[in-house]
Amino acid sequence: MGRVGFKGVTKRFGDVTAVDDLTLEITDQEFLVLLGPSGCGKSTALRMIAGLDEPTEGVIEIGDREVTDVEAKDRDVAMVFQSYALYPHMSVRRNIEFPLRSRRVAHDERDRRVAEAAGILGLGDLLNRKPAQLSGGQRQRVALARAIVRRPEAFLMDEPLSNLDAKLRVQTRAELVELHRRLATTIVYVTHDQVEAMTMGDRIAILNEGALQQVGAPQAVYEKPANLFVARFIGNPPMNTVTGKVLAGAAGQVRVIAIPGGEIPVTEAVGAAIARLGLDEVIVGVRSEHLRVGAGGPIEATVSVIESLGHERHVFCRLADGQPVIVRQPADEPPPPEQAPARLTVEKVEMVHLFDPNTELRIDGAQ
Amino acid sequence: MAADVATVPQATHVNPLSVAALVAAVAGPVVGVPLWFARPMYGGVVVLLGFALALGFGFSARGQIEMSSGRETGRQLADAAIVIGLVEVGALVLTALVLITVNAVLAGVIVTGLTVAVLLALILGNARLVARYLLLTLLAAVVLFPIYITLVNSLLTPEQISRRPPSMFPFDPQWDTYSEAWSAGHMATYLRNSFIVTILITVGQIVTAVLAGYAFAFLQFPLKRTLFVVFLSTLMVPFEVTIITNLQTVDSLGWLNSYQGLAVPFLATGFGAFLLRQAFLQVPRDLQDAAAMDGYGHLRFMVRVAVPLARPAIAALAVFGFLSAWNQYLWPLLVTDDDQYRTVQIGLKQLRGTQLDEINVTFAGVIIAAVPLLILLVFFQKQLVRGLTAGAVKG
Amino acid sequence: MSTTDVAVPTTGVRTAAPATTRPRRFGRRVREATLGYAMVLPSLLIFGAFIIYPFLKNFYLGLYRNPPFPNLPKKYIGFEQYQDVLTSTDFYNSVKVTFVFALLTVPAGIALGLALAVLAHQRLKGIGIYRTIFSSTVATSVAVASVIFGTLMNPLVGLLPWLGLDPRPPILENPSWALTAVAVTTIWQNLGLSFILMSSGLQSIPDEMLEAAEVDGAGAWSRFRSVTLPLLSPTLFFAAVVGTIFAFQSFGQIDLLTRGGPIDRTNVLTYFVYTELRERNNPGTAAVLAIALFAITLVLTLIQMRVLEKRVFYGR
Repeated sequence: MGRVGFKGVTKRFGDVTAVDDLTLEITDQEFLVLLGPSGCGKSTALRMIAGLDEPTEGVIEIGDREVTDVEAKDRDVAMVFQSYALYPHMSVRRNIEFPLRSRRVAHDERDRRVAEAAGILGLGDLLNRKPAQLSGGQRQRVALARAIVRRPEAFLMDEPLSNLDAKLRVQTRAELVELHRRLATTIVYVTHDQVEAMTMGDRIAILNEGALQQVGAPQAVYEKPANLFVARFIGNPPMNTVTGKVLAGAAGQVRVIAIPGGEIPVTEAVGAAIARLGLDEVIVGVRSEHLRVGAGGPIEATVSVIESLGHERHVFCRLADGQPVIVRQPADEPPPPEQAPARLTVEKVEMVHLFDPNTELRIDGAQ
Repeated sequence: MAADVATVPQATHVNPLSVAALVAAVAGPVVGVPLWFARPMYGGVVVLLGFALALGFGFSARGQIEMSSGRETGRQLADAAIVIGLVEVGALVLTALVLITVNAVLAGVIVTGLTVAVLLALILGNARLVARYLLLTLLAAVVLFPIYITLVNSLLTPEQISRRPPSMFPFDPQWDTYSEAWSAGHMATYLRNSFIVTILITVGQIVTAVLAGYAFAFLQFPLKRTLFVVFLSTLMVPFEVTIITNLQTVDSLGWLNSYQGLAVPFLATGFGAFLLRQAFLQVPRDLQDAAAMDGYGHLRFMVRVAVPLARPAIAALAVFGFLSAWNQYLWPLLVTDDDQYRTVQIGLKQLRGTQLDEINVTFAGVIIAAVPLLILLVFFQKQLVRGLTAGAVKG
Repeated sequence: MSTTDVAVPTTGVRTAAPATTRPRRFGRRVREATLGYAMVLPSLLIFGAFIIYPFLKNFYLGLYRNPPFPNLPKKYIGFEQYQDVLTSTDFYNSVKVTFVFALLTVPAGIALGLALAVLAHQRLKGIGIYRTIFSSTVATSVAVASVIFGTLMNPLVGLLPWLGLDPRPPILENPSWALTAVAVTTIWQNLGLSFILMSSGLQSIPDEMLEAAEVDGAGAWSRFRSVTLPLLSPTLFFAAVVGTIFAFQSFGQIDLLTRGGPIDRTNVLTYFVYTELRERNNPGTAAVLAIALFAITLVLTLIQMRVLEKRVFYGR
């Protein structure tokens, strides 16, 4: 069983806390992505599963055993490194069979497994080459083959695509998802690239400064970011966030938030939640695709620059007080004039995210 | 500007270099040739210097006079010096060719042919290029001459060696000399001892340096830094400083006249440990992590991955260690007095003491002692250069 | 695609409490440290027995005067022996000879090596052969070089006397010529090393710098003086200091060519140590001399470190 569990795991390097009280359950055969900016502790978390780093506190479990003090080689997990960590002096074949040799797998079995792994990754013709004679994509596949050949309980991958060029990365992303289905094994995948996280992960776990921010399916995380950090980190272009004043109605109910140059409506349920919390100010977040720019609308703004991406446009606007806002506009709509005033509209009230400025947590109307 | 200067009436003067050139051109043969008969070497130097200065000064004087826009005279003097210098060179080369031909017809024909070829190349071909090769070849000949003459003398009889003028080519090579040096001069025994001791030392140094270098690069243990400083500080103690007690130690162990006495004190070097530590630090950390996950502990990782990747450094250390072990002199001299255990270098000391009627054996011994390292140089030049410059580059 | 092929027991290994895990982590560290010490130990044993202990023992040996005849007990005399040896004219002469020897060999060796390196630093067909020839003398040992030059200078069969360099008494027995003759032998023997060092120094100078100077109109000599030499200065410093240390440890050529003579004109410190130890059987004096040799070398090494620091500073 390929489940992996963190229970209250903390890792400190001297005074620096790399991972702070992490509790996370990764289920068998899941593709879990650990996402976060560089230095957030995601690689340290992965290395602790691998057994390359020891937790300062807490317990790590793989399958149904606690492995906190088990040596890396006895953990039955395989890792794909960012640098691929191929042995430069060995042929591709030797690289792939290296983990089997240490485990004294019989000769025939070894050959069979190498052939199988090479077949899965299309490396059959390259077995006698040295890593230096391979392209970046081929090296990456050798690293994968070396992990597959062990048939581990879980694969650990540390930014395996970051050394590939953009085009190859897109292609390999799909191949990895396919590979995951084929192998039906747990994958813990570390990346700082939210596109990789969104496209590949069954679930995403977002880390910041060593602390777990949110775990959930990609779409759920995108639609309901648990806090301001997640809201700003997920999505491209990033979510627009503006501090707004809470305008209470006569009966104390909240239906609009005043922002520079206009007002943004909120749903009844969210308004009630804000009122319950007794906030004067909230942080309003609206994703760029949920804003429209045109001649009419409740919010004043000025269009500064328009970037065309072919299938859509990014319209960079400024609010009355100069704060930047990005609006995503489909290519078939007429572009607004640049360097001219325009008005913004929020498309749907449900698409407005609100965050408590003190705790930075999401204010949700559901409860 | 130039016109202005030229119109100003100005005292012209004779360029001093042109005068010097002419003086050198004349003085060279006038002083050098008589001196040649008394002291050939001094005479030769004076003649060489004479025409070299005549040509050098002559050409520079011509350049200076041209650039002085009429203020300097002496063009004719410089030209005369150059002509005389060239004539002298020609005469010297001709004399040399005649002398060689008279002594040995074959050599004379070869050298004359070469000279004519070079002259033709200079006149017809790319003179600059030919001149460069000429200079390089000349210097190579000077550097190689001591070894060449030793090789020649090793193939001559003692009478031929002391003949004047000396023979420059063994027309009747005496190969027997080598078998005499090999057996009667004990060169076979000395060579065997040198090989045994050198290989013991080289292998020992590699093993200890790999182990220590790996520990310093990959392992964590208390006092690591202190120990590393101790290793480096051993480099500051010249071996000559430690011989007094080392001799007593080896004596009390009963290791005088033994391979272990010759080899054991050199089985570890601070230089080697340092060199390999640096090489191991270049091995990516990820490789060690990957190997740890693949089930390889430190020792197996070292053998299977770290050592193969540090091969260039190990090769450099091996060649460097071989060279210095082979060339050791003081220590073997101190701890051996039995022919059974003496090394080649000490064997040469024995040979140096031989009589003049066996001097050809001495020359053969020198060649036998030098050949293993010359072979090493030809095949492992890259590694040798790396080893020798490692200190300078890593600094 | 079963994941249980690799035989790992999956039952009954659940560790009970985190408290029991501490000793195991500790154990891993102890194992690593033990391995580390075990790997350092062989070198350390050799260093301890053959470098550190004999080095320190010199200070002790220097405190005892050895008897004029063997088998008598040596006598503790404290620092008297240090004073005697270090103020003796023999010691003063030996230090002087050693320094003169270094002065004769080091600058000339570097200059010749540099000249050859500059000449060989051009793109010509077959330049590799010339490089091999110029570096060939690294393959000659001190003994080989000494015997070759010893015979070249031999008054009866040598070529140098025949060419006119024939002073009386013969070169190697001539007080005014002997040290120079030993120095020439040493320069030739070290020429290959010097050439290799200078060549690698030259190769580290980027071609663009010289090309830039050429574009600026600098001639060959001015390019050499204003670009090559300054950029090569770290290598030159290094070669000077290491060369000097080498020169201070020269022994074989003295033993083979002059045996310290004539009238101590070639009695360098190492040879002085050797004769005190071997011929006069006087370890006490030899120890004091060895300490002096070390002190001089140490000062030179410290200078070297300074120079190397400078290197790093303007290295890049």
